[in-house]
Amino acid sequence: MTFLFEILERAALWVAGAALLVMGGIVTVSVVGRVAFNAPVPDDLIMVGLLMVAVILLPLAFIERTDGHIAVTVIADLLPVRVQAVLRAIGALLFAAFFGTMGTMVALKVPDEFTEALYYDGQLEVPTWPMKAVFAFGVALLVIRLAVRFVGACRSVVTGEPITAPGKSDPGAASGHQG
Amino acid sequence: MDPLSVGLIALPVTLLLLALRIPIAAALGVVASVGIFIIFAWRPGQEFQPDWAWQPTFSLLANSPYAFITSYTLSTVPLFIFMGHLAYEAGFTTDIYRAARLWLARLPGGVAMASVVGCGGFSAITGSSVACAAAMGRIAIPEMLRFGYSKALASGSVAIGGTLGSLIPPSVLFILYGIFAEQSIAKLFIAAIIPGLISLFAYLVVIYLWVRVRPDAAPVPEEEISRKERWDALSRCWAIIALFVVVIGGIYAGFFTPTEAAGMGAAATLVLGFVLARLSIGKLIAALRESVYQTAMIFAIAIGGKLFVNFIALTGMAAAITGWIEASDTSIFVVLGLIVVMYIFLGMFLDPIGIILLTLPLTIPIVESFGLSLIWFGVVVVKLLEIGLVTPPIGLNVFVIKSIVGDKVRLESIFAGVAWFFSAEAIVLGLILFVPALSLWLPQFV
Repeated sequence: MTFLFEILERAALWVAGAALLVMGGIVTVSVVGRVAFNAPVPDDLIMVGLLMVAVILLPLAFIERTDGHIAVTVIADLLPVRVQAVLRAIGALLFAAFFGTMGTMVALKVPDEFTEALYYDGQLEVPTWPMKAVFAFGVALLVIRLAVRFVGACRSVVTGEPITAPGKSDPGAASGHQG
Repeated sequence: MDPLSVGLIALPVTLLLLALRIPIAAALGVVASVGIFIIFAWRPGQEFQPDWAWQPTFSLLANSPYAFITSYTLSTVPLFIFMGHLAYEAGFTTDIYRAARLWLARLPGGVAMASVVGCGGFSAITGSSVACAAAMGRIAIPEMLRFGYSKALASGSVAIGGTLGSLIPPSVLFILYGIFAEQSIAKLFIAAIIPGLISLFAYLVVIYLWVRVRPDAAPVPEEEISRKERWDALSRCWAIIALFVVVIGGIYAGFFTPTEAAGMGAAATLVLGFVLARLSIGKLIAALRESVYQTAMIFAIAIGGKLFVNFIALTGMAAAITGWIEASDTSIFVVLGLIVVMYIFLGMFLDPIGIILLTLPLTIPIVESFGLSLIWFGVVVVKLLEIGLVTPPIGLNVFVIKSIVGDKVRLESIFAGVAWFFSAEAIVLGLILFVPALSLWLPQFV
């Protein structure tokens, strides 16, 4: 089960990468088309914007798995392991509550938009529901990963052993910062 | 309870949650959601009525973040990040460092200077300070240590040089600032060029003075470098120069919007990488994986930040603070001084994106009320955030360098090395603050 979930997390990361590549492709082809043939890609702005959903939401679970979500650790690191674990459990709960609520709200729109065949105004009439479904799927993966984190933190509270991030040594976990 | 009181309670609660290691995205998002709920449920002079709040709060949660992340303009961020990772995988970063090293090697602290110049060059095609420090750190620090450079100089110069990543365009921080402050990203990019170059020059001066005072910190490498080697190394930098010209030249000349420039830049890097046989499918996949990882991490915070901005707007805090400042007739210098202190303080503990999203809803209206340019203020804010990247106890760039050097250099040595540059940072910050023309001269031509 855990193995299957990890495959899903990785697959989501690959799909996000593919979405980024397609996004760059659409922007480039559109610019070249506009400059050379006065014909940009139809609905390029809509499609690029929608692909952002896949690029942003799908890797979130993998990031959580590799302990990559940014938090301020300067005070927490000074606390005993059990207290740290309590804080991690609370953090996982709050994270799941926020993203879970948001994901549920977005997911609830999908059935209606699907049955009503809603689409964005434009030449291609791009349907509105698929990326909302992707959004909900990305959030669902994240919430499951946060539940695993919560259980791990609770276990740590009981045993007093430090929490370990299973994927911390993964490539991709190394870069993890901005600024 | 009036909205202002809710806002005043929410700010310390947010800081408390952050201090308790709650992920920044969750802290901002949860406080904003609960705050919005309370504002709708507890209207001034009324009883607490949760039924009034469920629908508008859920509606905001369903619509605001989704609309935010599907913005075309925001796609500039992942595309620039992708471009930077591609350039790193293709080895363009190494080219710049090599050329700078061969040309500067005989100067006092020449290899450290080369690492700073390399950071400046890489900054021209990447939007992230930490990526810049990480990339240059892997290349330059081992070499400096091999030449007998002091650990503080070797690590400190790369940590500080990395801060150029966000100041010299393109820059993720400027894109986010531009979106949240509703300013032209193109103008922000152009505005940062001169301050970025001044910062780079200031770092070189510090290295020069450091080695003049303590020559043993940077022995001159005993190696013969021919003129041909120098010119060969320089000629290999054409790709990175071409990419900079395509991206920033394209924006400056009005050929592209920043988003288009990011797309074209990434595509050009990809094509150059494959044509020059310096990219493989494996490296492309690695660049994609790193890019989406970094993008998602940034936007998780930005989603929470977007709701936080909505929440602060509902509280009316910005208007209240602006009104208070106007009523108390506080000097503009005092206000700017307080803003600078606040950013430096937050920079000691928080990451730059968290700070930008936490503070802009409050600082932008204040700066606007004084009639100051928000383009200039953007440069000031990003410079302050960059200083925060190297200040203890939490200096992200310093920790990145530490993760690269491992046990070879102690964390204290890196901070000690960076400390040499603080006086230069203060002077450059003062120049940016008190000579707005440094930031505003170039954008007038866009």
